Amino acid sequence: MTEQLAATAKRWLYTTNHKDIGVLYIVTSLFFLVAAGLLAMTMRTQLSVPDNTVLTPEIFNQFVTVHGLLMIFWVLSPFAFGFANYIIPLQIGARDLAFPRLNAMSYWFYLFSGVMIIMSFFFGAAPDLGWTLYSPQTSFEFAPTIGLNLGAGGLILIVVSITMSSVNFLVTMFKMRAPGLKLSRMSLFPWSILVTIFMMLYAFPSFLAAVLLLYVDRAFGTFYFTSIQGGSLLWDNVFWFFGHPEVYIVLFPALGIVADVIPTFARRPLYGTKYVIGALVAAAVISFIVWGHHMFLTGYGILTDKLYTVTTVAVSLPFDVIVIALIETLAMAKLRLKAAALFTLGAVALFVIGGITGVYLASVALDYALRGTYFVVAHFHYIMVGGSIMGLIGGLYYWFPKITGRMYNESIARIHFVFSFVGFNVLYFPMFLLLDMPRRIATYSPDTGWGLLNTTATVGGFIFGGAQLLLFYNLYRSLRSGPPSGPNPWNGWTLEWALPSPPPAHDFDTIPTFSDDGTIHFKGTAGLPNGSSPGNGIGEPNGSSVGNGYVALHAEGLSPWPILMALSSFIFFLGLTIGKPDNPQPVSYQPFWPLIADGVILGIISLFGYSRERFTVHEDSHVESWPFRQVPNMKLGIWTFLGAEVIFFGVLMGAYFFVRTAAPTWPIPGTVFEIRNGFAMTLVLLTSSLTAIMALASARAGNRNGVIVSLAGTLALGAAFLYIKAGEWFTLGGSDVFKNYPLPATSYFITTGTHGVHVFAGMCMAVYLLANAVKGKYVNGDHVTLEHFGLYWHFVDIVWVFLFPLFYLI
Amino acid sequence: MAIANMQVQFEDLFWLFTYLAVLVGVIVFGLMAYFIVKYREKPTSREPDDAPILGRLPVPRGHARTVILTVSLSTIILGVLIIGSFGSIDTILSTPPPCNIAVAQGANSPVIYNCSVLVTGHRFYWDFNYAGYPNRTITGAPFCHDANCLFAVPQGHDIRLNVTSADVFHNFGIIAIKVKADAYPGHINNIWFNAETLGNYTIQCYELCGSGHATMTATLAVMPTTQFVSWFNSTIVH
Repeated sequence: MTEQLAATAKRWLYTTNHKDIGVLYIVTSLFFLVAAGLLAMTMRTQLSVPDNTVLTPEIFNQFVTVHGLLMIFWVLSPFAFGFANYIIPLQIGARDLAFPRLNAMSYWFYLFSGVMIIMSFFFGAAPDLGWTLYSPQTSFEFAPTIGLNLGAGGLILIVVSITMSSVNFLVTMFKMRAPGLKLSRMSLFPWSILVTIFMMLYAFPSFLAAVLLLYVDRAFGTFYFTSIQGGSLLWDNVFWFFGHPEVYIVLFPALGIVADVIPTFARRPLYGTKYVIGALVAAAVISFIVWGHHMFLTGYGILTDKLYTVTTVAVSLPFDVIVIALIETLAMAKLRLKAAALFTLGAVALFVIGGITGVYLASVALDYALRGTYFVVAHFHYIMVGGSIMGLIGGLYYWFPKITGRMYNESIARIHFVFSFVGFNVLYFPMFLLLDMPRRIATYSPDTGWGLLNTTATVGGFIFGGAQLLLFYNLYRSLRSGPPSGPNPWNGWTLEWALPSPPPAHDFDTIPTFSDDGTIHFKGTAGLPNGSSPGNGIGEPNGSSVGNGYVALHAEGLSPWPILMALSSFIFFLGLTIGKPDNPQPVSYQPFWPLIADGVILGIISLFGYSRERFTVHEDSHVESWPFRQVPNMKLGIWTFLGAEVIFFGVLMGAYFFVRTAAPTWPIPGTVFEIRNGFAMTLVLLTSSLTAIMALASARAGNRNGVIVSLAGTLALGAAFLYIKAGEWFTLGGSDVFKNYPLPATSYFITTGTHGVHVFAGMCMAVYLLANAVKGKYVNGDHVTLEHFGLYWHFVDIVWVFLFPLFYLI
Repeated sequence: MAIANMQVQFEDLFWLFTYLAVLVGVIVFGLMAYFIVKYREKPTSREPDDAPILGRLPVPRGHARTVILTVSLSTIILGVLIIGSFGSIDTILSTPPPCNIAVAQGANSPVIYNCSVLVTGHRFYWDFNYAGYPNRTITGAPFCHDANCLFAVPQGHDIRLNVTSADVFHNFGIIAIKVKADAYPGHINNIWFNAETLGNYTIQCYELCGSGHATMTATLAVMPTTQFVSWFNSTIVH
């Protein structure tokens, strides 16, 4: 009994299989959905009548903030990526993701980051200034609670998780498609995920920079958001540059699901597939130039107002195309209204309402009255709950048979739909009519006349929330005793339906191939499902969900290092954020060194274990990989990661430009920061790039001593860089530079400090490489690791080439 | 009922949007409902020829003209909305000239009030400083509804508000007049309105600023000019 328990625990804690990780993401996101939903139901209870006292304003503010954070970061995207993890490799004919252990790490970072957010409730206070965390109310002066620090920590961890996932999915989808599966032949769900990942790569680094700057302001008393030059507008820009693409990030996967599910149940192909794909791409691109509509009332000038009105209105056009295509799909169809079809069609209808009201908010003139009201709340809940959640629930009903091998109960599912759809509208439509009521108020007085609409909304909330019990009951019961579903209950065409339900651990026996004439060959015969034996997914009818060869088959697929890496990071960030403020003039938190040290030690052990582990990833040779045919997976992964780093440093430099432009004066070059030091550091770092190149050249030439000397040189030069910087910091730290030049000091220390951390990380890599080189590695055709190191190191140097003139010369 | 120019302008624009929104909604939902009802599976339905099946890529389907038609019609509708919006925002952001209301008799000449008010957000109240009398400020208090925090303005005049904050990011909104301004430190936002109808109108804060966010209310009182002059004398000047 305990042996089986231990085996089950080992499987789920150490798995790197995309299907297992997909299940973990889905189940965990549903847990967070319930938690955030309960917060919402409590808020609705508080707001049901005027002058209510169910929740104090302090608690209400925490609830509304954590509700938003959890739903956006810990529910919507993870739910979608749970499906992406499980289904995409099947749909593209890949064996797993490109980097399975990285995938597992993404999940554990996600889980621990969510734990951190929830913990904040029990450590004094949760974050309580809205998920948008406006400045300067989030500064330490106005919010000296641990809650925001823990919130910052949780957000940083989840951004790390998301960045790892983005890199992983990008490499997988570009490099691991089945033969003949050109990008243009992929169905809409993989396309929506691909577009989402690009948005994630370019938006999340901005958010990471914003949260990092907020954290250092709070912990070290810097002045990004507490100064007038930075302050509210700097946060607004940096946050919403991320924030707008983010709301598309949480929408697109659901749209992709809707666009695949409707054709399946309509028994006709999607109308205008290439136009829908083009529309998704267009909307994703435009999403990066509309963020000003969240700042319409900040007073940035009439020209900017009009520009953002135009771009925001324009972004509705691609969505028009998508909606028309989805509706046209139904023409001359044979529509089976099963649960997945009901939810996805319902999602389209609710998305249309959300989209139309979005156009209202795109008008800067209307926004002068609608800003900060429940009209906005109604708009985005129609999109995020009506569009995204309903679409994702459609996906859950759609793929439940594939994942579990069981069919759910259709009647209960239909009742679930009716109550959800009706309850949803009773909950949210009144909020459009509450267009005078401010958002995020804990209560309101009776003479506003808002009572009746609020009571109605609360009733709707209980109907909608209560209806979800039907979902959980249905799925749980069906999991245990539902009838077997067979491989293709819906008669779908995408590749996952060719596999047994649930699929075997290794997915396809032979990767399917796509011919030029549009036929898909499974094991050489068009159209027949793969004939291998049923797999050991959840709910396996004959026996345990573990054993039966799963572990033996994939013993090499189990790894303890992902969860340990995530745990060590969690502990480290906990140490950074959980300390108590120091009195009586708190400007910083005391880091809690025992936890920080534990995190670092465990992290080093995990990193070591991770890199030493023999983990083989089978790479098929005859796959579609346009346009990266000549680029190996790892290298593509590193380039992708560096792309995100470009945005990250770009935003940091942007913050510097922002405060500098707003500041009336700035020190003359050379008066505060010694140009000499900057010059020396530049020379040293550029030379270290040279030595890195020499190391690679020596390795290619088989010159062991050359590799060792060059790597040692790189290490020494990196150390010299950090030594000069340390000297500079020491001198400046002892002076009054923060008092006399608060913004130059802030931007200098944080930007060059972040860069310095990158240099230090590179040096740690160099130490590891040097140790290997001494043992004789890299000179026998295995020099690719040096190439990868070089990519990272040169990038770090190029960033310095920008920082040097910005901080020393101008 | 016309309460103020900004409110009338908002409602006109809002109804333009709503007429077009309902038109679009009727077409889209009508089409969707029609297709769902007409093409739902019945015992007599036959499987379409291009039904997606396992082993074959879906047959491409669709006409460019549908996309072009959709985008064109949408662009026309959106163009109308943009033009309407541009007209309104021009009005909102064009600050009118000061007014001249003689409020008191000074030493040598009448004291003139210019209809400008500096509104400052605090945690958790608003204060109103009537330009020309920097030492006389109406200071509000959380949930204050009485005479102590009455922000009075004369009827029928262009009132200019300069809105800022002394601490965090607030937003100043007069509900019935449908006008708002972000209030954040280091910056002053200018809005204006002209109130036609006498009465008291609620002001609220529209940006989450802390635990007292819901209590940051105040009252705008639109008074006849003569009554405003005496209020000004008794409250501001003295």
